[in-house]
Amino acid sequence: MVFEGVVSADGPYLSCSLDGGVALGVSGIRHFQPTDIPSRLNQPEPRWWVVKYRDEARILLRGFNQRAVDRLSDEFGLVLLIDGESLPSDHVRQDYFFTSPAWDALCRWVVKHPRLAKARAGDDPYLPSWYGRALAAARALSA
Amino acid sequence: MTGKQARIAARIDAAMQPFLRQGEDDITILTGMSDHMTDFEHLIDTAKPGVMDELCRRYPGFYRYAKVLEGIAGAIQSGAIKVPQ
Repeated sequence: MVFEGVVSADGPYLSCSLDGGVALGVSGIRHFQPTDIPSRLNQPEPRWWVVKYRDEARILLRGFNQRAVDRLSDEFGLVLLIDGESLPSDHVRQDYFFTSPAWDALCRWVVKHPRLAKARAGDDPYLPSWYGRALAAARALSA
Repeated sequence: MTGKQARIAARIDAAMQPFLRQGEDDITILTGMSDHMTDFEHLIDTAKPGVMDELCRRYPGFYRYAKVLEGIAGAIQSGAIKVPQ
């Protein structure tokens, strides 16, 4: 599976081609058996999924083991959601993303494509002020 | 679906999350989400056939908000909720 970070109307977004996508900042990875999904995605037992919030299954991680899950989590700052434990706050989830390599890549993209990035600055329903934060990070690095 | 329509629906979806987590009732949601009513009306006015359904599928929080408004509108229409003349 190939995962890409893009900027969509949802803001910074994790896209996995035809397998789906999810807004970054409110997403996570969870091992469970979702119920409210298209029948073609039904699984006979719990699987790893990228989810939005807690229950919105978005990307089925076919064949993923713990190591692959950890790598995806690290790369895009996706918090691991463990059943039975309290749900991390939105701020915690955002902090995961803001400390990830995907965030560093987004900051570099903002510097490399300033007009395009500025035009997409308002696309921030799930990660408020990502653009301003990226600019600040870029300035700090160049100072 | 335009980018603006998706952006509005996503904002409503995000704003609905605290209410959904707390299991708030329809009246609390209606009151707490009043800032988003104008945006929702804009969607109703501009969305082509099928777009609202697509937005509801993509943004469950937005769908919940639409159902709240639908329920309130139905209650007003039936007279279950009295509106001052």
